[in-house]
Amino acid sequence: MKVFEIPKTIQDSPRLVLIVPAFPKLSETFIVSKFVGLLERGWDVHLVCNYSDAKDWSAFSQLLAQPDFRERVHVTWPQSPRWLAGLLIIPSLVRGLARSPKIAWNYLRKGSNRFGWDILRRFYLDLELICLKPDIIHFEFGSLAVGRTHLKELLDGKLTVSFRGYDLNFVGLDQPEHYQEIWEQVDSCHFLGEDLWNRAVRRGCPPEMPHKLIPPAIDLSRFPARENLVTQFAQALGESIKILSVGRLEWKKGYEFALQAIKILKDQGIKCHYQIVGDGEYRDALTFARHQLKLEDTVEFVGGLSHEKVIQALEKTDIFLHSSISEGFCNAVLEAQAMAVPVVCSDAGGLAENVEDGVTGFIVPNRDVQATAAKLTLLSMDPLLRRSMGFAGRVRVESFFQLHQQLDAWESFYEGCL
Amino acid sequence: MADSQPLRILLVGLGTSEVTFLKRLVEGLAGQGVHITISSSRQEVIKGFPQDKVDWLWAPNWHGPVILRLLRILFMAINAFPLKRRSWLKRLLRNEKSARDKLAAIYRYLPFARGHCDVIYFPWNSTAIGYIGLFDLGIPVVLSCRGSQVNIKPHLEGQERYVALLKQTFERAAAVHCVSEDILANAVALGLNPDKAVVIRPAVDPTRFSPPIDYPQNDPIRLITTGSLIWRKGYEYLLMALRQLKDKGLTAELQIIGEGKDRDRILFTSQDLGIFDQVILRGNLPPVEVINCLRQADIFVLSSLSEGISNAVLEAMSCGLPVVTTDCGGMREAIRDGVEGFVVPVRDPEALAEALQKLALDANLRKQMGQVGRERVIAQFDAQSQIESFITMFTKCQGQ
Repeated sequence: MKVFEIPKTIQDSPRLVLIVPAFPKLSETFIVSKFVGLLERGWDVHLVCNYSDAKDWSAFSQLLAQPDFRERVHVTWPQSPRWLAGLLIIPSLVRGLARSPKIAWNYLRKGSNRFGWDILRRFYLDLELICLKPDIIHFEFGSLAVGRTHLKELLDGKLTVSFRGYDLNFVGLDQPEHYQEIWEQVDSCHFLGEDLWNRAVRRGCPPEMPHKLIPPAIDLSRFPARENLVTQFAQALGESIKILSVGRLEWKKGYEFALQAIKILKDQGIKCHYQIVGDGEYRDALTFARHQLKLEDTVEFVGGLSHEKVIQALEKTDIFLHSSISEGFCNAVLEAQAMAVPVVCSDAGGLAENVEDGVTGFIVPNRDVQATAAKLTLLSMDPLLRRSMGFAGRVRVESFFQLHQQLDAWESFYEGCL
Repeated sequence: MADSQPLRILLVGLGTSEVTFLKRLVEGLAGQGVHITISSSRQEVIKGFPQDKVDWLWAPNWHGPVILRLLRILFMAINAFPLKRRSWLKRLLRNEKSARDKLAAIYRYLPFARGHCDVIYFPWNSTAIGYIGLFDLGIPVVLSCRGSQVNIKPHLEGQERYVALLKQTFERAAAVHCVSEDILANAVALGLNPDKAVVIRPAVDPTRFSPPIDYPQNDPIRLITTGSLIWRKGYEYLLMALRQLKDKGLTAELQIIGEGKDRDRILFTSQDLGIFDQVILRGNLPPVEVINCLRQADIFVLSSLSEGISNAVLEAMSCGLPVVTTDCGGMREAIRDGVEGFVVPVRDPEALAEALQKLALDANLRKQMGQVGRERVIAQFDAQSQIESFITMFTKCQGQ
């Protein structure tokens, strides 16, 4: 195992603090990759979260290899029960003023004019940030930044925010002003893709807002090499086609439309087996849909699987289907392309930027069962097309969606801020 | 009831929440001289019923600290003194293995250790299963099959035990009430002996749910639907149909009365489809206001994926509204395609949009279908014959 040494320059490099709800999370490996990646590139990165479980660390080899990094993860003091938080306000003042007297004092002085006594509560919540003296504070999800843009003035740092999907697609839809303070205060925004940027503009973001589109990335070292990928080319005609979806069982993944498309395939006499990997609260609705559409013998709910098992499943499948109704960008679709599996997906959110239509797969209109079935049929009938589209997908991931490319983009994003 | 001895019914599982159609049923039965005892954790459950006809039996919920539960058991024991059905209780306890289960069984069944009734009635399959020990009392049991508990839940994963218990309750019940022929077919597929089954469709009070004096002339046309905001109601497909209507140049307004966890989903989808301004979520409304909303609407639409038979549709028909419904559950027993409205396949937004368009463009057709619908409700879904059918069913069981 390589042991990373913090380069001498890290002391002088600007300090970046990432804010997330919990760390590390299996469903948010991209935060881990970014944190470790930027540190390895010499950035002075810290991370503030509300919750961190030691058990989760062992799931990430990148983190296990770097025990020193743990000191860079800071968990905020408890916010509930409220009486406990109230009792801890005085100790928080002591700690803040002892650790960084000047910054803490400025925070209280400027903040008390603006917020009155409420500044004590804010001080308590912002304690870790006050102690860290950040140059850049980065909220990893848009909704986290709401109500916290005062940090820009009180800590005299740069504020940046990531919008990753849920925040723009769902949060505060019925409140037109929900993100107003962010559009006014933040120095720069990051979006996973063009679609989210457009949504932000529709929700009030000024078009001149400095921003950068950085798509998700794949760590190809965790995937088989291109030449080792098993091709499905040799598969005998007449054998049943294997179709796979990966993603939580939620209504917004649009699985009901996927099932309806599979129903059409089946009615056309195409033999297929459709597996859905993932679990979630929409499982009952989907089990009922499968029953109603009489697809019990064709559709299988596999449940949640580890990343390794997902890769194994991708290795054995002919077509990746993703009928999402709402999507940020979608890592699962990137992973399918990395595994050289052709994709049929909807045009929801950033999917149209993720898959190259007609090259690495097919993009069909959102909620369009007929179009989905037509493309599935086309791919089912044509093993050569499946193979060529699959490998085009691998090439696409290698060219545009690799981790090192993403880290380059992050570096230039933060350099641009400073 | 001409008999000197009135029919006595023990109703288990009304719950504390207001279920309008069950309240009407109890009122109707009491009005015919039937004596009803309702078991519930709270006395409020009998508020508003005639006091000489409707009793309350205290059956507390299993909640709170252990000491409170033990105290409740003590009170229940005092209430049930002198525990005439001791041997029945003992047998039930013998079936339970752990001490905790025994305690839970005492807690559950102690309230029923005394008292007289001719028939035990479970308005839901789930409560019949929960109180399956009451089948051992030697008193005839009647239960109702209403919807998702027989046409959805048995088909979900991991429900083998539920299905087995459902079959047991079917086997041991003296009679099984089904709200529609379709629900009957579902129940028979699960092992119900059709000879035991009685189909009694829900009823509507046509004087309460009456049409407006003048038919509304809304522009844009106003669609209305009532029901919880949950996946079973298929709102995603309805919103898609609304979008298709818009593409055809027909901008309709949709009011949804109800609340539920899919609220965000409906907000997102209507925004996503560019019909945000056309969709109005009214939340839960008191019955009087629901009637007002129905009177001001042009078309009632039901996009459900599964139903027993929709009370909401019957109420809308009673208010003189034409109905577009999906072909699920017993809906065809209320709406004939092209007569009281239109029946379209489930999960088919094109068909839904097409039917809505026909009605939206033709005020005369709306009026005519609405009138036929109201006449049908008055003739076939009236409260009087519903109550009589229930009494007949209960009386027959009593003799067994």
